Amino acid sequence: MHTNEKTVAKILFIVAVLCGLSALSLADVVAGNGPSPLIIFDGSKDFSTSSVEFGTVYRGPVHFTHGRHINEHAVSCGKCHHDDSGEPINDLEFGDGVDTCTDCHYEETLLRGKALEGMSQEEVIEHYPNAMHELCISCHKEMNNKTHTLSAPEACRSCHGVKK
Amino acid sequence: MQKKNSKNMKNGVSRREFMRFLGLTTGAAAGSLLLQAPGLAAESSGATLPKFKIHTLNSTAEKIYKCKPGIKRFNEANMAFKQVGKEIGQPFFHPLAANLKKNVANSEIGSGIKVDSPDEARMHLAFSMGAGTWNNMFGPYGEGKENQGLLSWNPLYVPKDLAAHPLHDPNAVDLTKKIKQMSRIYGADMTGVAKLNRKWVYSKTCRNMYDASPARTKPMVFSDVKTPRETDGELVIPESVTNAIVFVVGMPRASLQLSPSSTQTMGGTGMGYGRMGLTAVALAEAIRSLGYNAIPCMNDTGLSVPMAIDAGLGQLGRLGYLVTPWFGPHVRIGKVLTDMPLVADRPIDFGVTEYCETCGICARECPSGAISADRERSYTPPASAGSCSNPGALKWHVDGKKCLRWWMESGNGCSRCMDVCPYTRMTWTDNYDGNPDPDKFWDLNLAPFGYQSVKY
Repeated sequence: MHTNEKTVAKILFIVAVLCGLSALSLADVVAGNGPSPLIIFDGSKDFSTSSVEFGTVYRGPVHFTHGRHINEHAVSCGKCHHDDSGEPINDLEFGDGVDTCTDCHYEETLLRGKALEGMSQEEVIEHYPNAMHELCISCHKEMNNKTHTLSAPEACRSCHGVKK
Repeated sequence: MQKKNSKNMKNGVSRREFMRFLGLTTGAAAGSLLLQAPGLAAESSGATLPKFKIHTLNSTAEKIYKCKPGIKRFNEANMAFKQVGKEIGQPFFHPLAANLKKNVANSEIGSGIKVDSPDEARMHLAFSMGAGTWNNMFGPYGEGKENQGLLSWNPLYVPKDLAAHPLHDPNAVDLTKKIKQMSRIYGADMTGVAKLNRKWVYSKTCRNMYDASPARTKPMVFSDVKTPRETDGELVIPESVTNAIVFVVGMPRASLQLSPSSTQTMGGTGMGYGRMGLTAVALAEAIRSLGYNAIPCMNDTGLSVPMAIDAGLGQLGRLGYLVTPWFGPHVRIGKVLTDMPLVADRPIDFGVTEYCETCGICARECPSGAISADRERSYTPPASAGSCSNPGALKWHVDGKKCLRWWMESGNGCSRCMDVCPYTRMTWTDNYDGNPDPDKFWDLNLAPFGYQSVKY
């Protein structure tokens, strides 16, 4: 790390790690003795949530760049492309015909949280978003941990952008 | 015994010295007197407004969140700061700083938030740097800093004779009222008292929280000692310390509205932590001068959220933060553990759990997918959170590691969940929300500490 970066890091350590109301006492508010024991709150406002699973605003398409991965980061074809038995395919040339991911990873929904309970890994990665997340993010994490940086994107927002 | 105490105190501290000391204390707190109520600006949303009432419960956080009997005290070394530092092989703030530097060079103050020039980006960073000053003095943040610096577990400036002699005739009701008044003047927005549940006290501190090396821990134990102390092997809290004074401070709303992951949100958070540290230390000194033990805490020593719930300051939200009726989750929580006789408040319920079940906006908006998107709460944290999340309470678990890695990736703190929470927006909106223009920040007509609604 360069001296400048160290300096900024030091400063940041100091600045950022994360990340008087009224004369009413809490007891007054709770007891309703204050001027406003009721808090006005809009429970009916539409925040566009689904009723069962809560989706994400970060669902724009991901722009994957073969060139960047191959040329800048020396990622081999087989890191992503594999055969029926999961073995990597490393001898691809540009223009070669390949099966599309969704031929096997055909389920369109992203499973999170409780939806994953009781499912085998094979069942989970039938879901295309889960398969891709696991593939991309695990590799990026591995790279970031190895290079001691957070230069490869891991978070939803970084790859998907915002689409409401 | 009482006569002897009185004599010693009189001999140890002259009236003039004592009054001078009080004068200094009052002067130091004067800035906080400028705080104003933020107002309940829900009307500005243009929405139909049902009302909710705050109900008190004859219960505890442990019961409300149906904690399993075997729930373990949390080891501070399991905080995401330490765990992610080990994963990445660096203090987490190194990559964060490197990415922040890139942001500034690209005229960005956050994830996708552009300003006119690198100089303007530096202006927002400068705000953030200054806003962290008090926090740096008192903590920063407190994690792993138990009994260190201004967070000392023993008197800082209170004369020994004064600290050694408790009140002759303490009245818990009266003390509670007066301590809360002091807390308010020192900087707290709301203050409550809880009976200290030792399950919320960390099992161990972690003395090297922010580096990548193996954790250097020290157990925190309760023992029959007169005053809090630290030995080579332990941090010792007196058995007599059975109360927790817990308080919340609101953070400057406009700063945090420039989330996700903006330099401004770091500044707003820094202000919250700064006032937290100031209030905790000032309150501890006041209590010590009345002859009682006082352990001032920021994020150190114990879990703030369940203590705040026990103290009647709010409920646990889906986003993993305390949701208060006054500021939503837009607060920082400080606490002072003490053996001063006090009257405990009772937990409150104003419908947060039920609302969070069907809202989920924080889970939807979280840039890193760190917040549970399940309707129902669970006892089980996500596997990806590893040891960062403590199982055993029925709640929506948050993946602290995902959250922190996003900070590092984006080069800033985030606070998006706090910003978008309807409880924040409905209790403290100021027409600067949504995706506000960072240039307009400098034109906002704000009250001290960033309070008050915005006037354009």
